Amino acid sequence: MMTQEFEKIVQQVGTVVLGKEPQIRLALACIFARGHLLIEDLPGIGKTTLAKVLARCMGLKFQRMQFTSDLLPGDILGMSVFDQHAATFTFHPGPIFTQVFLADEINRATPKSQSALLEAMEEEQVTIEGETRPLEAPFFVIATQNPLEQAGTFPLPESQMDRFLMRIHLGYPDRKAEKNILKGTGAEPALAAIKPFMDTTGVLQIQAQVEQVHVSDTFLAYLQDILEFTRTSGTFQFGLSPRAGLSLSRAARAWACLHGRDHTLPEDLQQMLPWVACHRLRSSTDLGQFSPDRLKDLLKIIPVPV
Amino acid sequence: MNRDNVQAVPVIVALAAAIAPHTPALPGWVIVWCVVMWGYVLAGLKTGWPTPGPILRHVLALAGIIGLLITFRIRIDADAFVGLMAVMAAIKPFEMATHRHRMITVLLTYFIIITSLFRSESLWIVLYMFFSVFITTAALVRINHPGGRYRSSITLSGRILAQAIPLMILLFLLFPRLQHGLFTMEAPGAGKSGFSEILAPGSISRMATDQSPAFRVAFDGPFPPTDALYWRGIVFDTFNGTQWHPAKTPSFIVPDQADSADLVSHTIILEPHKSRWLFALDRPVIGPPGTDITTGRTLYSRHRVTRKKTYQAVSRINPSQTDLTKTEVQSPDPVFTGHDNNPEARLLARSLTRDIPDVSKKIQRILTYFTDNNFTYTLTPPRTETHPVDAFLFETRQGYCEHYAGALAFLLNVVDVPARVVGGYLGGERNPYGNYLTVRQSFAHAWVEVFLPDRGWTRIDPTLAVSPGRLARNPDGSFSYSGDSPAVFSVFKKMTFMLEAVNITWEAWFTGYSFSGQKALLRQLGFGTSWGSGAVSILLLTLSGLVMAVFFWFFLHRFEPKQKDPVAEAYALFCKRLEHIGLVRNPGQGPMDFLAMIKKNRPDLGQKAGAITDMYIQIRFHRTCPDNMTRQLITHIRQFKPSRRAGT
Repeated sequence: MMTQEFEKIVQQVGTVVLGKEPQIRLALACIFARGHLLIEDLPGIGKTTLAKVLARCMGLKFQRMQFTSDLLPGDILGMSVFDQHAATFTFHPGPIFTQVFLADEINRATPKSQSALLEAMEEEQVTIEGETRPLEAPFFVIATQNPLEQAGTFPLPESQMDRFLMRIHLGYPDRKAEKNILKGTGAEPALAAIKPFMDTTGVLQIQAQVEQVHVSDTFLAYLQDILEFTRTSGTFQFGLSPRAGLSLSRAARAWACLHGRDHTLPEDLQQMLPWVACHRLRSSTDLGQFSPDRLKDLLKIIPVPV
Repeated sequence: MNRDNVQAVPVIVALAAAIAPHTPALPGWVIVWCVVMWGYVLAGLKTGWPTPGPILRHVLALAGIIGLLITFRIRIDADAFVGLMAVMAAIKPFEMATHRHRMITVLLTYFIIITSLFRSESLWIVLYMFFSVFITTAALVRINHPGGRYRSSITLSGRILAQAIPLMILLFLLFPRLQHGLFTMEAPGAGKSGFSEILAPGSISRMATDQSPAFRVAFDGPFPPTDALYWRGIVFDTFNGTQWHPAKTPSFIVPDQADSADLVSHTIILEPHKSRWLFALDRPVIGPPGTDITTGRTLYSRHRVTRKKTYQAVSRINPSQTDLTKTEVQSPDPVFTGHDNNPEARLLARSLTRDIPDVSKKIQRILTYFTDNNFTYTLTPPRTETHPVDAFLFETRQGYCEHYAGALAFLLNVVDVPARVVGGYLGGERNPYGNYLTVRQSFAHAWVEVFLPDRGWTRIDPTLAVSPGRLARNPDGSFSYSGDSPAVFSVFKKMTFMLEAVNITWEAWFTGYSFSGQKALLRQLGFGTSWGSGAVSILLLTLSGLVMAVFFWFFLHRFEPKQKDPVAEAYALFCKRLEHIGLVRNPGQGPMDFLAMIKKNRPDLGQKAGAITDMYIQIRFHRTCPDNMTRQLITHIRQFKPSRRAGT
């Protein structure tokens, strides 16, 4: 993928989700790295809009689902219903049978429903009543989580957080962007104006291209140094897992690809690390979450192999 | 000077601390030399004075060696060796630009610290060595972690030392010791000879003002009475007209088993005096291993005493004829005194003892001659010429112990009473805290032994006839030990006694722990009773060999040299060149970020730095790169010489 194309998409999405270019880039990288995205932020910031516009830009099918505490796995995956005319059970696919699936406020659902979704994310297939149904590729989940309202929620455990390639925050728009939002007529007309840039095949091609990005020994040495640091420095309660290492490598490759390179650089890793690693790490001192800025500071003391 | 020189500071501090104990023995110019060289380096940190180049360094080294040759001439001993070390250590900081040099210097500093033991093994020196090792280790930590805080270097150094102490104690106690050291190094400063082997007027009185200790004594039982504190060293039994000598080659006896009651067992720590005489309470019957008893009943070591020596002896303080061996029971011939020397003294002796057949009465008669004729005891006797006995008896009538003893022995032998002079020390200063006696050089003494047919060799001290007070008071005015309580002394004197006592206890243990001490310890631990000591030594040698091998193995693998990587080296050079113009690469900075920084600060370098970075990235991160790319990168980086100011 050429950088110009990438920039065009970013620009296009930016006309709808105002002032959020960095997050748009990250979300795109996440899609092309075949990962899933967790957005943690307050309601009304534009999470849904972002998901919708991404799906539209890439010409992918889109489904949104609001998670609630009475949501059942069947509601997500679908179920077989008896058809009186045909006298057979016919499968009614749930909203998960799509390409971009927005799981709004995932932490409101019960763990049972959450894990139904997470299994589908991991395996890209759904097994209902003994029958395995593959999901349509590319399959991309954007889950949102409200970090503040904790009453009646089931926060995702760390092991589940690991299924998301990245976690990003949207944050409030800056003053200029907000003025434009307030001036405008809402996101819907802008969204309607967007024309798809590509289609399913295009996305799959880019994903395959990402797989081809070269990872050199020096890069791997740096990656391993970082993993080693999270495990031995004593800054974190637990170090990063090999799966996290793999995720880092994939994200860095996608980032390199989106910047028109066929090889990864240490800088790719540095860009990706805060978003890929933060939700997998806990500080060893207060067991709290690790902010991306703190992680960026730590990167300064891990030498880049020359 | 570049910032690497800052790292010379801890090394200089460590070097100075290591050499400090040698200061008393170093020639003055070497000390000045050290201060000037180190001062120059330290001042250079502020003023930016240039570091001397290799030629100047060689000239300095040569000048130092020539200076040492002039100072020490051909006397290549420990002092000269220490001087050479100091001279070299002073100019070493000039070539400490690289880490390797600093490491070598610090490791050599440990070696310099060990040489302090040549000087002394006292507790204070050993404690100081601990301090010095601590400082050096801190310097070692410092040069390996130059960025850290001084405090953390010091803490780490302390921790390393604390961890090393158990191993140190174990090695001290168990590392196989040889019966006589592997190589013996003469203690520097031991040049001071103790007792002279010639007894002539002046040979003992020259020591009358020397307050340095000759030896220290601890008794196994109660202290013997004051009048028994005669420390026997040398027997002078030949006379050449002016001087008394010991027998040219000593002959030895095997003393009979001692069994009587008045035996005194005592331990002596003898300062090195470079000869083979050992002192012991008059009259020794059992000497330590490695010594013989001469026919004159003195202890004679098989090796020269060049280091502090601790030994045990058993003496009989009231000897009688029963101690004598069969050959000694017969009356020996009088000492041949010559024919025509000291004619007046010969006449005097004969006239005094005419018509007195009894030996004891003859002796008594001659002794009364001293008491009746206004002889005086003085520390500074006048010098006498050719007939010393004549001159003393008839002209000066002032003398120190050697005058009286020499004259009495001469007179007795003239009238056929066998008599000899014994040299040694008299008295001792008691340390009330350590319960031992210090015998100083100034306590040197000489007395006479005559052979009485019914008692054998009997001690007669003519000095006491003239100066009876000598027995209770040492020549320096200090009291012999009896009746002194610590309260009598001044605070300063008390402190001196106390510190000396602590040190003596330490030295007795530290220097006394040798081959036999180790054997005794191993026996207590249950080794060595059934096995030969050889087997234990072999076992210990094997064990320590194994420990060494393990350490060595770890050492080798710990510091396995990294594979040389030309690309990494070239890129490091690239970074270093930019560092010189103030563009420092943060270790966490990737090549692209670094390039961006260069372009931002120095747009004029952008093109060259960009080309280099491109090549570097191709080699390091691309799937493939042209074969000659590394070569090209190295060439580019070698030619990359950024100027300090931005060009046009």
